[in-house]
Amino acid sequence: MNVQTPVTTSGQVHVNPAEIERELLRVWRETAALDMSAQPTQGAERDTRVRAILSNFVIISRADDQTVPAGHIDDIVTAMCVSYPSRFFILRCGDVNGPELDTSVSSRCVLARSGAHVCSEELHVRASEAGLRFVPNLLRSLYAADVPVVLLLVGDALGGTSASGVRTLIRTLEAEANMTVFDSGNFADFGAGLNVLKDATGVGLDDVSSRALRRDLNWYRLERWRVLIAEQFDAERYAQGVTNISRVRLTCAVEPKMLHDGFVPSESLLLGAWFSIALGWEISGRGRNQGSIQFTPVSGGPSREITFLPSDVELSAVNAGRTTDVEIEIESGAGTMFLAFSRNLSEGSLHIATENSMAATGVSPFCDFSTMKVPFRVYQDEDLLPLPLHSGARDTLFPAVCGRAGEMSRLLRETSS
Amino acid sequence: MENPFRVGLKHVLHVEPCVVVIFGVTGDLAHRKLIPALYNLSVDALLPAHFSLIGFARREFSNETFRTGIHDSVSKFSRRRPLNDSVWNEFSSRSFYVQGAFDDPAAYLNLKKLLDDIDAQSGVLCNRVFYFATAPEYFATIATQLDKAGLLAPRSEKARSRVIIEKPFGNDLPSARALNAELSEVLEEDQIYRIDHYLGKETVQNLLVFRFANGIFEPIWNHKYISHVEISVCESIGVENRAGYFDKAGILRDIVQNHVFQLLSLVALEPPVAFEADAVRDEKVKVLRSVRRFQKGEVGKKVIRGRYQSGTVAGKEVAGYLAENGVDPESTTDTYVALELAIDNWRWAGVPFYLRAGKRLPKRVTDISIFFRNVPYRLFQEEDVSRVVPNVLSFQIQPDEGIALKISAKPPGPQVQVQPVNMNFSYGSSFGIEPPEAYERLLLDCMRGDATLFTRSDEIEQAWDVLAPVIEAWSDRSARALPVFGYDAGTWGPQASEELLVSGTGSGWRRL
Repeated sequence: MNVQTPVTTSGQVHVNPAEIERELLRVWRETAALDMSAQPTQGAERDTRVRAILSNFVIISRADDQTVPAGHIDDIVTAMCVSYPSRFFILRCGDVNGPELDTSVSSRCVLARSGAHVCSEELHVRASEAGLRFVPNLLRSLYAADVPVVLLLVGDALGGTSASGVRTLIRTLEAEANMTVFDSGNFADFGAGLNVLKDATGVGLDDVSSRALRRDLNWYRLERWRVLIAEQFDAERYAQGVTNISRVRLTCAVEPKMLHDGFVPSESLLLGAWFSIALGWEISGRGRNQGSIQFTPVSGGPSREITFLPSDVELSAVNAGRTTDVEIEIESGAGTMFLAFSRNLSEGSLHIATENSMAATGVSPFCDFSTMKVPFRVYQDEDLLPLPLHSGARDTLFPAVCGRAGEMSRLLRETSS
Repeated sequence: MENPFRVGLKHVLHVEPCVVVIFGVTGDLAHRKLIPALYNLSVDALLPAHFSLIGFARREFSNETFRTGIHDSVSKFSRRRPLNDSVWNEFSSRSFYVQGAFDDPAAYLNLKKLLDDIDAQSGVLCNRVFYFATAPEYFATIATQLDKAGLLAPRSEKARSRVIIEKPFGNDLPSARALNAELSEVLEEDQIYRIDHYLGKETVQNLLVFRFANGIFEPIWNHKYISHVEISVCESIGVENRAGYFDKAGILRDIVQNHVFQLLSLVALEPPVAFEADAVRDEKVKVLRSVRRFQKGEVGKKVIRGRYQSGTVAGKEVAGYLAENGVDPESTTDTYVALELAIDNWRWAGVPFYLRAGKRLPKRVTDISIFFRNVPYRLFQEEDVSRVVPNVLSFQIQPDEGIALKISAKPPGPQVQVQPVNMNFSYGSSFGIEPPEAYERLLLDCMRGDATLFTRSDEIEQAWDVLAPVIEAWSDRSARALPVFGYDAGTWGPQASEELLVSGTGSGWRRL
């Protein structure tokens, strides 16, 4: 069931929260009446629907944002209705064709894997640029009590011509929110995107005083990469080589020209920044090759390098912007060891290969070679969203990685121009 | 040196490289539960990259036939169907089979060689988990053979061998002690993971979260506010194809000594000093030690033994227990038991705990109901006294995991009336995500070396000690023997069980 009932439509602003609440109540009473009148199937319990609210979940998008695919928000709400049933507020901001403010309510019931019909309620709010000023108070009056407020910025919510009003709106809403979820994967330019976020909310990612927790879906997207890489270095043979990692090559599915112009996809940039932070490397300057950055280990020693390379796989909707290969080079007196991770996005797997060149010992150059394959599926926004929502702790590593990624992004852009 | 790539990943379950070896891999438990659970963990990317499965059994299988067999298990019983080809292919390619009798030293040498080869191939020393999914008489034999083959000793600070043992762990106190003693000759206590799959269920774990993460319940969790507690583990099935085992064990040994006592411990335990294996298990042992032992002559009054007769369940005629295939016609085995226990400590003095477990009852349900004391004064004098019922907090463990609180409310209308209503929290509704199977959680915990949800030797022994007087009294087959009360299949057990409750609380068992 997902029928929208218009509640207020007016050129002039006439919003009556009580009327919206009444309408919601009516929707639920109708649902309950349907349940009562339904005949249970033979041998089964009566198939009742359950209204559940774990949060006030505010989904914010710009009306003119072309980066949001049709049906994307609907997919998110359907998935979240199962994993995190909420009172959903779906804000479509800066609508030039509609009235200043327009609201409607609906409910959505989803058959969860548990077999239960879980129902969430949705309030759709469309506002023109001028109407945005009414939105915060409207939401305040309609927030369900005692549950957290989560803001989700969809697509490039902070960009575009209609964005200034949206930025003000987000700033106001975030002051009373518990969490803001964004996806740096949507930033055309990572560093610039972070700055816009900071300007919009008045709080930098590294500002621990912010009330709302900041969660980047792109960071969660990297978690499987991080776990699998960390796992390799649990093994004694690599654990000892951590300090001898000399080079990391990250290959990403992107137009070579983009990389040439210094635009590295956010995912690879964050992964590269994470490597440098984890290994205790400080940026020392641009590298010798296109797309590379030189680092100096804090503990001293020769310079290190992280290089971003374009992938030769054909670009598709599934792999665009994703990191496809990571190669780690470990140099020691005994020779060079390579640890290579190759992701197959269409198969949902990661191939891990190790090569141990024993040149120094005079033995065959690749006397030790092993491979394995592990699951690594493509995570959709709907898969990732529950992760930050179920975690209440502040992530101290993420701000540092983000800051480093911003620096790296700037350096790559400067050196390319 | 600490792995720098692990920083910031504390929230991600960290499983070291691991090989799981299942003894009795051709049996029903492995087929229905263990193999599907491992595959599900693989789908959820919770297994380490260096993971392998080895099946060990007597049948002559090649690796290929074994893989075909486990494909069948996963296809039929995994909750993550349809199969993901990529995950399955990888899982299958890391699955191996070793054929041998459980007492054949040569088979263990083959197993050792395979384990060493896996280590060499992956370049890491993998942890080893040996799962004894066999009949209990083989537990000590397998442990001894593993020890002789050098498979139980730690190979480095990190690479450990652990053993998972299925119930039943002994069939009375002396046999449990003997088994503990045998195992302790070759294994350290921290290597032994005695599994009780009830502890892997979400609601059971939620009991601890509910009690110790909510400030409002702990202050009233005692004799001042709680009148009595009911714990029910009800099954609608009969003995099915387990008559050979069940007729020797009975429901007391099969369900009460392990599952029911685990639930009792979690309801009654004091706050542990930490959510760590030994801290939690220390408190569970204290509860069992505080359970008042039955005195001579008390068993007949406080324990009801029952046996189902023919009847109807879910619209079908079913045979009585004595007519089941494989059951001794002279059997006095219990298919139903109800007990009244007292816990002699500061918190629970004077609060009776009523436990029941039975087969061929009207439905499959496991429930813990906490009955609070009634209000001290009847303010609503006009109201029918039967409508003013005490508050009941119930934890439904299965089939639909959830928590409900029965409260009194006024129905709409001009008269002041009182009507009991339920506030329900259903896992399936609030968290639409399907909870993992209990075995998934427990296998993962063992691979991670977390024994919190496994039972310790002293817990097992205390549980048997509580039941020792019952086992002794029931073993008497003379004319003075305690009765085995009959009940029709499809009913809630013998009338004597209802009377046990009525005599103690004034009302019968809560209707489930």
